[in-house]
Amino acid sequence: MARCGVHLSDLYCFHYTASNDEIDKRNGWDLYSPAAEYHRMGVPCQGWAPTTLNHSYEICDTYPQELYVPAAAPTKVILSSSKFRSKGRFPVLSFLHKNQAALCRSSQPLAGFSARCEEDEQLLDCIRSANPNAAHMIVVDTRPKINAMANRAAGKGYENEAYYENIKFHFSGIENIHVMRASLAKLIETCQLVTPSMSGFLGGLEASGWVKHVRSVLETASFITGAVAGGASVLVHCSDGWDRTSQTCALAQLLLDPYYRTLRGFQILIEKEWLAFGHKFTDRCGHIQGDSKEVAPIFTQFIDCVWQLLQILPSAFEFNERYLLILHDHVFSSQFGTFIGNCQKDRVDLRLSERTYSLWGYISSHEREYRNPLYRKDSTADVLRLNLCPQSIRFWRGMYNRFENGVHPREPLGDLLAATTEHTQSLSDQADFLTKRITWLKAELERSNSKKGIECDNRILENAQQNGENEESEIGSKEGVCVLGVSEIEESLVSVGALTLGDEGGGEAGEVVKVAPDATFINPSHLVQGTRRLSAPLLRYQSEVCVSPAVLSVALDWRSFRNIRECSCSTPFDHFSRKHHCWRCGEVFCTRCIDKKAVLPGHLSLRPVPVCHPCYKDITRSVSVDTP
Amino acid sequence: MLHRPHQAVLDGTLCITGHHLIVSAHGDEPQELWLLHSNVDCVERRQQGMTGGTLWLKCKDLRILQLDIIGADQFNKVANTLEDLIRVDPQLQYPFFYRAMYPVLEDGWSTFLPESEFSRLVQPGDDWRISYVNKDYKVCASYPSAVVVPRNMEDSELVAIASFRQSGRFPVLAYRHQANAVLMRSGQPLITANGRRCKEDERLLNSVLAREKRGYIIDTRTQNLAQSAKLRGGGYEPELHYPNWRRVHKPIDRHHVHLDSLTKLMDGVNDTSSGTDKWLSRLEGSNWMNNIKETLNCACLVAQCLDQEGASVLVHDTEGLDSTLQVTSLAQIILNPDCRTVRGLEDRSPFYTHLEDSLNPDIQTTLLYLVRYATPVSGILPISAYTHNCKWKVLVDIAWGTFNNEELFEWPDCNVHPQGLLPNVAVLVVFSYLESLPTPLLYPEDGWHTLGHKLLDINPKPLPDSYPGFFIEEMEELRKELPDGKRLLLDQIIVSIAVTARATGEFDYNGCLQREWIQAGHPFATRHARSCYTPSTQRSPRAHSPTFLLFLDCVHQIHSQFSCSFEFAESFLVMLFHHSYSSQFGTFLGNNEGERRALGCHDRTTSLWSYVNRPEVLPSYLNPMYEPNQRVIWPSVAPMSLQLWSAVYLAWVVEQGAVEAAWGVARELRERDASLRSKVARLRRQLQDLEREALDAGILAVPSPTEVEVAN
Repeated sequence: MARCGVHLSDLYCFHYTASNDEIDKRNGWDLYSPAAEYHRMGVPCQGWAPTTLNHSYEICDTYPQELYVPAAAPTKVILSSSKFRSKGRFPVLSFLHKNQAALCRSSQPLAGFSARCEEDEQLLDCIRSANPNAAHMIVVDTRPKINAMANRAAGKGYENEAYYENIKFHFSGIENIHVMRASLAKLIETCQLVTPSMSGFLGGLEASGWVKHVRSVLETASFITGAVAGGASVLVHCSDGWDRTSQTCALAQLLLDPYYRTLRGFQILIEKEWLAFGHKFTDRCGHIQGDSKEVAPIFTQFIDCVWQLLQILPSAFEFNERYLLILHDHVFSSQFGTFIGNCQKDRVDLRLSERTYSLWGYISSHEREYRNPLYRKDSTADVLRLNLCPQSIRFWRGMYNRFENGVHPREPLGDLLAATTEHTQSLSDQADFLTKRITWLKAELERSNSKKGIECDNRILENAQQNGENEESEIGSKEGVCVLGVSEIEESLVSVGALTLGDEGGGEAGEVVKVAPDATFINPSHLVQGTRRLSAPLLRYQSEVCVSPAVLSVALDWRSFRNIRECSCSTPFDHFSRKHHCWRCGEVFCTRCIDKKAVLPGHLSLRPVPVCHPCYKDITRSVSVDTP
Repeated sequence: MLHRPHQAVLDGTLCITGHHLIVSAHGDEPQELWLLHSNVDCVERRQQGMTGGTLWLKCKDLRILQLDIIGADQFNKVANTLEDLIRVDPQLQYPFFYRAMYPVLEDGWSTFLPESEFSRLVQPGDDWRISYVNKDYKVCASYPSAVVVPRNMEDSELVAIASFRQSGRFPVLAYRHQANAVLMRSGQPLITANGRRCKEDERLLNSVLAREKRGYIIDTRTQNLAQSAKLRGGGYEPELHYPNWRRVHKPIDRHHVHLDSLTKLMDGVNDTSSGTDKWLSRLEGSNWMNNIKETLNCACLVAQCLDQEGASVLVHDTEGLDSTLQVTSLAQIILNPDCRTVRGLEDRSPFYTHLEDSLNPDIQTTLLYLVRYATPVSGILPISAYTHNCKWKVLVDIAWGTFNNEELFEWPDCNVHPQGLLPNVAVLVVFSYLESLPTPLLYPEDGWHTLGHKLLDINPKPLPDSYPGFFIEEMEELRKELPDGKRLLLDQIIVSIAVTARATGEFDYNGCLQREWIQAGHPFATRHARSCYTPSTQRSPRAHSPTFLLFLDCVHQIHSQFSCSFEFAESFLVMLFHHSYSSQFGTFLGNNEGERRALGCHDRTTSLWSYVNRPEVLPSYLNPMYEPNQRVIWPSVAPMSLQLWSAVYLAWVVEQGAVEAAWGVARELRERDASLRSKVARLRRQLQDLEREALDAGILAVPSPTEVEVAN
């Protein structure tokens, strides 16, 4: 964590360059386009329109440039309303549900004990009437009522019910950032007890209040969801509208719209609700030395809430726990520019998109690790309704005890299932390949049966028939058969090419066309190279069974994750490091050792798939042999 | 009017039969609720004048049903009847009237015959033997008729020891870890305040230890409790008289407090309207999680002594009926991979998985592997082959005498040379005894489906231990009927071979339960007569206790930490919990084997295992993520590692459907992967055949060995 510097420009992200050339610095910076996102929700429409009032951040410097307001609201009303709202954060559209109920957000009104702003009332009325389906709207003040009242003394506070018509008010009692900060500190203290007793732990958990706070955030989000899904528009605010409001609005949208439960949708949601609407990441995360009172685990809490949802509904989200953790890590790490600065204006001023990498770029190139294998798009309803009784909220061991290796499940299911899914993909690709090859051979055999007597000139290199007898000597003599004369292979290549062409009607002969799966079929180096890595019994059986080396370029079985403590590069695996399989040899590697992708000849689709470094070398070498 | 958790209110007719309470809905949709009376823990009533009233049926599976009944008279009748019916004489209980509606293929009562059951604990020429000293249940009422004791102890000596141990529970063998590390259990020694001794007891314990080895006596009571037990005629083994045994007190709360603890827990669980703080403080206050932690801790200690020190361990508390059994059985689950399987599916090493698909057509090679992993029992090698998901089972018997076994066993593992094998191997391939199997067998296109049935005709009965088998000539006959006569039988039939002695059963999880709980005399009938909803005035903490639930919970904790190492799924544990309290099966009836015999359970009731082991039922309790793990698994007992078991305690409060659905998805993923794997392997084989054919036809060519050498 870089909490050393005083200036933002000292942060790591300005110095970080990705070691892997494949990630472009620009990747991910264009992920979120407000116009596209609002268009997805069907905005602009009759009720809602974009406004350019904040184009150079003149009304509100913590809001984004692009804002959506009720189409019926005149500019004057908006300007006055923004003056009546704390930090100028007037009510704007955050989400439009397909039933036309809108979710809006703002900061608290500067109501004090008696102040009144008719334009603000008008603006709320415009929001209400933009939704043709409900006669009233709901204002959710996420603070405890007592806090809201206390704010009145400072000239802030909450909407006076007497002035606002057709509005229901609801206070939901989420505590402020200082309470949350203290709560997490206590929780961490509990987690770090050296030899905790059960009652010490449960007592500490209760005393920290963290679980309670998480639940209160979720309950508020659930309330908002219920209201919006029920057809009423909702305005959410807290004090400044960038902490609790961001949490609850984002969670509510997660519950309302399945799009946000996808990998990409969740990124959009964070871009929109947290980054664009100005959650003060730099202050809250303490990226640089500043006011310690400004630091608070608001985003952590949000991530915790999402994790709770993931626990309750394991098939509803496209992403997994690791995804939440990496998000959380990089909000603090400042390795990427994505979460630097307190608002959009800061980020524009710092020219982050030119000078730093985006986290989204990184994630998109590692997406495999963050997919939830249990995700089923239609397994849940569009709108999630939850039972948020205290019993269903849990302590997130994976987050708060993350670096204590001993306390986690030894056999994490998620990774295993993810590996299973990948394995299935690989096998189904090979099944297609085999089917094709078998069909071809059958046809060929039939043809040869009918044309018996006609000499078959075509000669294909074929070694495995005698595998039964040869295998031991082959394997014994290490390099063995793997080095065949270049001319041999060339020759055989030609013959396969010709053969294939002949098979397909024999129209365009002449040039040697390399039909990939068949061509690579004959490279025996695959066989030996490919199988030597496998464990002994595996090797024996596979080589006995399979004739064609290309078949063996795809591992039939992948090594189990169990009891693998470190990668071959001797990087130890801890509980959260994702283990990967090489699709070619089936061995287990760490993320860094499996960054190569290659086409395996035993796959019909010829899609590049992850392979380990040794296999990659093998493949590239054999390719260079193939095409001298 | 019936209010159920997670379901719509049901308006219907109530019918009370001798064993069930049935509510069936009015209206078109046939909706019914069947509830065994024995499942009801207590009935709470609230009458509303003459209009009727509300009954709350609080069940032992922790569910609470609300029943609104119209009419005061009816209301009272129903309430009184129910109260009478929920505690009837064991003789009249449902298991004695329940008749299985399906053919019982494998009688669960005979799965666990003591002789076969102990066959692995006791081997010929061993230091241990099976004693029938207790065959009339007179020496120890709670022990089974057969127990395993050191060979050099006479039955008369055992009788003497029985009088020196609480309830006659003399030390018996529970599990053998390695050659000399044994796990035993007993009741406390009756030392009394006078310091009584028993020479035979001392001799028994000493004879167990190897030379210069020390053993551990794990007393699950505190030192103080053990000390004060002396005044009440009990006590602990003084070091003076047991010099080679080190005594360790590893306190677990006694079973007296567990029911209270569960009551508090369920009070917390059922109150969903209070805040998080209250819930957490109730969870803490219930002490339930702490009980789990302590029990696991103690089991780990025992396992450690056995595994890491190679020392023998004797576990006891006061009576040796509760915490002792928890500890000994948990230690076995930690140590013994077989205890983590549902039944007998031992040792499905990677080796076998590969055998499955890529099996060499060489029958000899196959046989070699079969032989290597089989245990000789009375001259016949009994081998079962299972498919991946256990839907199909084939028994393959190999006649022992027909091939040269010395030679077979001398072959080193890896250098199998097909030519070196024996020509005249007699293979007896025998049928699947799960005859009602609905799914087509392995490779229907090869005609194996019909073959399977053909075999069934030959011998339609399950195999006795000394099944004679039929010989290779018959097999030849069968082979002729195949459309494609080229292949050998074993190549096709053996899917995933798991060798299992027919006599096993004792070391799988069911066997572990059977031995360590049912036969060891855990008083199920008494302990489970009342559960946590019974008002405290009506229960006796000494008699009633959810000891077994606590044990299952501990298994669940290990299960959730090692979710791929158990062959059974979590649902299996939940099922056991339900059946242990209330069931149509006789397995958990009575307090001990003596009582069950007196009740005639074996003849008059159906065994739970008869039900569970059916091919239609078993797969649903199997863990889709299972990968056999031969290692010792050490669970974490840190408080953050232990989680409340939601599938039991929260099942009726928080909807579990989404989590179950996720398991369904996981199962689907794994099954798809497995089927694809066999498909690919089959295609590979088919391709191989085709290529061979192509070679013969001259379409493909092979480089001659000389060419290869030249290339080198």
